[in-house]
Parts: sequence; C-alpha cells; structure tokens
Amino acid sequence: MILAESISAATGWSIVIGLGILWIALGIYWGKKAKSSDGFMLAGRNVGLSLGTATAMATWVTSNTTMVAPLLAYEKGVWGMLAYASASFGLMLFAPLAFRIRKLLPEGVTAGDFFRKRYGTVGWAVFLIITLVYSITWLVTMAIAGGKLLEVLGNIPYAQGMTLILAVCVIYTLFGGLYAVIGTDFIQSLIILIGIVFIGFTVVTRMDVSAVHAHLAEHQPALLDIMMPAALLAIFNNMLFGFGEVMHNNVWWSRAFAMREKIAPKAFFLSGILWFPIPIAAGFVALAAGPLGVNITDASQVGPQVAEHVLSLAGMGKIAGALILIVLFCSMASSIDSLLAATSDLLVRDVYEGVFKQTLDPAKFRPVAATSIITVSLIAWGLALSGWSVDQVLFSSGALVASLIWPVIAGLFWKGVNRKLVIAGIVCGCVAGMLCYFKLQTYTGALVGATVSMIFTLAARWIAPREFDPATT
Amino acid sequence: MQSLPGHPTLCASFSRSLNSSREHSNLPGSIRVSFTIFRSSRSALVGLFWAGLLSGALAAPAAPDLSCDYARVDGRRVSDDGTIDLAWSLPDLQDGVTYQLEQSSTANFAEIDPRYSGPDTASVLSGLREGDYYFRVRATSPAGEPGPWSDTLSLSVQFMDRNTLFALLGTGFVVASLTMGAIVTGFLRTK
Repeated sequence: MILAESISAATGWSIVIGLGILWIALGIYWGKKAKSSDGFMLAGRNVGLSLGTATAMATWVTSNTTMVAPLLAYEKGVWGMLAYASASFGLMLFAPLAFRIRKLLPEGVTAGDFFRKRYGTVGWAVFLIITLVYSITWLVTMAIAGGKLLEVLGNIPYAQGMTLILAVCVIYTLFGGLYAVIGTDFIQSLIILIGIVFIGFTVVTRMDVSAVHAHLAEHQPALLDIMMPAALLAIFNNMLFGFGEVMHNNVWWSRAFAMREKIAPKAFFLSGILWFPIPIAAGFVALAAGPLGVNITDASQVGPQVAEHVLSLAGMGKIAGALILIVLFCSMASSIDSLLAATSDLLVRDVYEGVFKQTLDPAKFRPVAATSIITVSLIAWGLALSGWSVDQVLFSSGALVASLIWPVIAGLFWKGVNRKLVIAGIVCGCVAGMLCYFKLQTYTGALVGATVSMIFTLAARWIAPREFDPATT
Repeated sequence: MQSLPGHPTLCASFSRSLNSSREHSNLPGSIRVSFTIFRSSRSALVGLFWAGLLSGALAAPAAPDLSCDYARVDGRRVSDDGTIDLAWSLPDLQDGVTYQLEQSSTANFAEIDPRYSGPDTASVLSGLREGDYYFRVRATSPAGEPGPWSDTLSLSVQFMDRNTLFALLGTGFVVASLTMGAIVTGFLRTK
C-alpha cells in the first residue's frame, strides 16, 4: 500500500538528522565521564534503578518489537500477539541470573568471561561464534527494518535510510560508550512509551471492538482459533528464543555488570513487566488492518501502515507519519547502540585480549574499541544492503541462542558438569534447531535447539561430571 | 499504451517541433510545400495521438498476471500458516488502473468473497483456515471499464499434522517449565 499521508523525504531526513544530532550531542556529553575502560564498557558499574530499568526496557523494545510483533499478530492472531509478549519472561527470569552473575563474577566484564571460566577454551570459542553470529544477525535485522521504515514513512531510499540510522548510532556510541547508550536509552524509552501509549489509545478509541471481531470471524477466522498450530508453536518458540537471547547475550550481561549489585535483579524484573504490554499494544494495531480496510502489501510493514492510517483518521495528517517515525527511530536506536557497544566489548575483551593475547593499556583502549565498533557496524551495513526479510533472518537464529540457555543455567547454579557433553549439546542443539527451522516449521528452531541442548546438559550433570573452579562456585 | 504522466512531456516536445517549422517560412518553395503538408497533417497526428491515449484509457485493460510464491506439494501450492502473499501485474504499466481481488472456496467462484479493491498490486491475506482457496484478479481502466479476470490461482492451507503439533507443544511446555523451575530453584538454593 502506498501511504497517502507519508511524510516528505525532506521531513524524513530532518527528523532522523535532528534526532541523530541530539543523540550525538548527548553521547559526547555523557562520554566525558568515560575516562577508563570500565567507564566506557560498563558505565563505571554504578547504574541505578531508573536508568537500569529504562535501558533494559528500551533495549528490548527493538525494531523487531514494533515491526515483528504486529506482523505476528496479523499472521497468527491473538496467540501471535501473546507469543511475542512472552519474550518479556526472558527479562524477568534474568533477574535471578543477574543476582548470581554479580555474585560469581564481581569483576566480570563480558559474558565471555563466564563461558571461559565454566567451559574452558573450547566452550568459550563455541559461545563466541554463536554470540557474534547472533549479534550481527540482530543488528542486521534492525538496520534492515530501519531502512525499510524510512523508505515507507519518510520516502528516503532504502540504502540511504539504513546507512543514516547506523551511522548516527555508531557516532554517539563511539563518543560515549555505555554511558551514552544508557543515557540515550532513558530518553528513548520515555519517547517509546509515550508514543506507543498514545498510538494504542488512539486506535482503541477509533475502533469498534465488536466490528473487529465480526470482521476477523468472517474473513480471517483462523486468527481467532484457539488451536492455530503455527501460533501455538510460536508461543513456546518465542519464549525460548527470548530466554536464550537474554541469558547469553553480552548486551544483557554488560548491563548486569554495569548496574549496582542489588539494583540489577530489580531493574531486569521491572523492565520485563514494563515491556510486556508493548508488543500486545503494537500487535493489536495490526489486527485492525482488515476491519479498517487497510490493504497490507508487505506484512513486515503492517504496524506502521495501520498506525498511520488510524492517526490520519484522527485528523493528524502528516504529523502521524512523523510521530511514528520518531517512535520507531527511537526503538531502533536504543537497540542498535546497545548491540554495537556490547558486541565491540566482546571483540575487545574476548577476541583482542583473549584470542590474540594482546594487553590493553588505557592509552590503546579507545582506538581499539572504536575500531571494533566500526568493524561490527560495517559488517552489519554490508549484510543489510541485501534488504532480507526481517522476521526470517531473526527467527533463523533462534536455534543458536536457545542452545545456550541450559549451559548458562548449569554454569551459574550447579556445582559441576561434564563440559564436553554440554558443549556437544550446544552444537547438536544448533544443528537440530536449524534443520527443523528450514525443514519442519519456522517456529520450531528455538524450541528444538533448547530441547536438545537441555537433554545433553541434564545428562552432563550425571555422566562423569567435573566440579567447576571452587573459587567461582 | 503510454503512461498518463508522460502526456505533458510528449505533447510539449511534439508542439515544439511543429512550432519550429513556422520559423522557416522564407525557405524555397519545395521546402515550403513540404512544411504545408506537414502542418496540415499536424492536427491529424495530434488527434491520432490523443485518440490513442483516450482509447487506451477507456479500453478495458488486459488480464493481470496473478502469482504467489509458495512451495508445491503434490502439484498444489501449500501455505502452512494460513497466510498468503499475492501479487499481480499487468503486461503494460498503466496509471489510474484499479484492481479487484476475489477469493472463493470453489474453482468456479460460485461463492465470492471480495478481498480487495484499489490501486495496489499486492495483498497479504492472513487468518485462512485449512482448506482449498481460489483467487482471481481483474483490472479496471480509469474510465471504469473492467478487463477480463486473471487465470485462477489455487492454493491449499494445510497446517502441521496434529500428532507432530501436540508432540512439539508438549515438548515446549516441558522445556519452558523445567527452565523456569531450574532458575527459580537454583536462585533459592544459592541466594
């Protein structure tokens, strides 16, 4: 559908450049605090509850939340909407993990530190491969979503829009590190919350719920079915995907290390609760597409299309497009910056120092960190030029992250395991999950990956277990 | 048929070439004759040009080409989640053309469910229950003249078999429960 009320390219450029300048200025301002590597990578390990909650929530409200949640609702109905919301359980469950992480690794910097201590060099290498592949994949999906969004809403050519969004996030992350990321996340989370509540409220007040139900029952009956197979599978698959993503990724581990010890569990739990209604609100908007007569030509754009239609009906005209662009740009920036910072930390700490055995003195830290941020963003930019389908790229990596759930749990809470068996479980989980994703059904990758890895990890507790390092148990 | 936005440009260049011929009235006789012939045929050419465009706008468009990209099972296209991405196009690009998309559960379209009417050339239909579905689309010219229907596109919605589904759902429930249980008990034990 061509959006009749889409904003002009000049307005689109103005919004993105204006917000970009604001984030960069704030990044430079907050970046002055980052005088050491701990400051740059972990914001001085002194983040409080409000900033901690806001950054966790804003990071989890990605372009995938605002773009894929409506897509799931449009294609899988009520269950699809709830399936995406189930990813909030991952944030909530990370609260007890954060508590344990801070206890076991008080001086920890990345998730790689944990894997190296628990599973040795081989386990650490497997983790690094998986997490780097996943982090790049996640970054690519957001860059693609950003480019497509600017193309649809702002009439900005895809490659230019995608490049612009990435460039803005790279610049302010380069200047401020995690200080800048967390600070901007706080402002972005406020804009996202206010925007989504406003859009959701406008949609609800403009819609006759009984008419929506009648339309769905007549034209899209499977969306109301309790037993829609793909939707039911999506619930467990997404939940396990969310568990795996949060439990393994350095985005979340770096936040656990950055928050004050007693704050981290509370902040993660609270952010999960705050995040839960967001995909439901975004998904509900998509269910109104049919009843409102909005023809969906690209399912990945269903959220912005319907939201803009409803806001236009409410008399907001071109302001509607601008408002949606601001909210979605914030949701993308809040995740892209976090991923850039966390992934570059992994490259610096685990690859540069760990794999290449380089010593990082304070004078060399900034250039190395900057090089890694730019490297990650260039790889993501190159892959994002393809403009792949966002949801397919995202869900294809579900098996990888879900295979790491049980190794993390075992490493944090158990006294010892058979390391080789756990590592074999991770590899088998990845392979089996990917096979099921491509051969059986899209929403089986994470489910099968987690299952296989869990069986191996449980077996590793009983078959020739070896105690973990007593200093960290 | 030319696209409508092209008219002003084409007409302007055509008029410019005609006007430039007037500037050569002091040319030798034989050349003036040829210009006279050219001028007299000018109105005919313009008329033909506009008539062509007008008849194109009024004439019924051709049948669109309706397509969707789904894997075939036993020769039939199959969707496993009740969602269908349809796209259609006309042999020639035409502005102002609108389309009607119809869905039916029978090949002869005995019962019709109109799914879309407008200028878009694609539609994502979701929420279809298991069964066979038939689709067709036709274009209508800006003057309201409908063209012929496209070839019928048939597609089956076939969900995952129930045994596999329940096995996967049961597995998902067990894994999710054990994961949550392991975290909560681990936390309480090590607190």
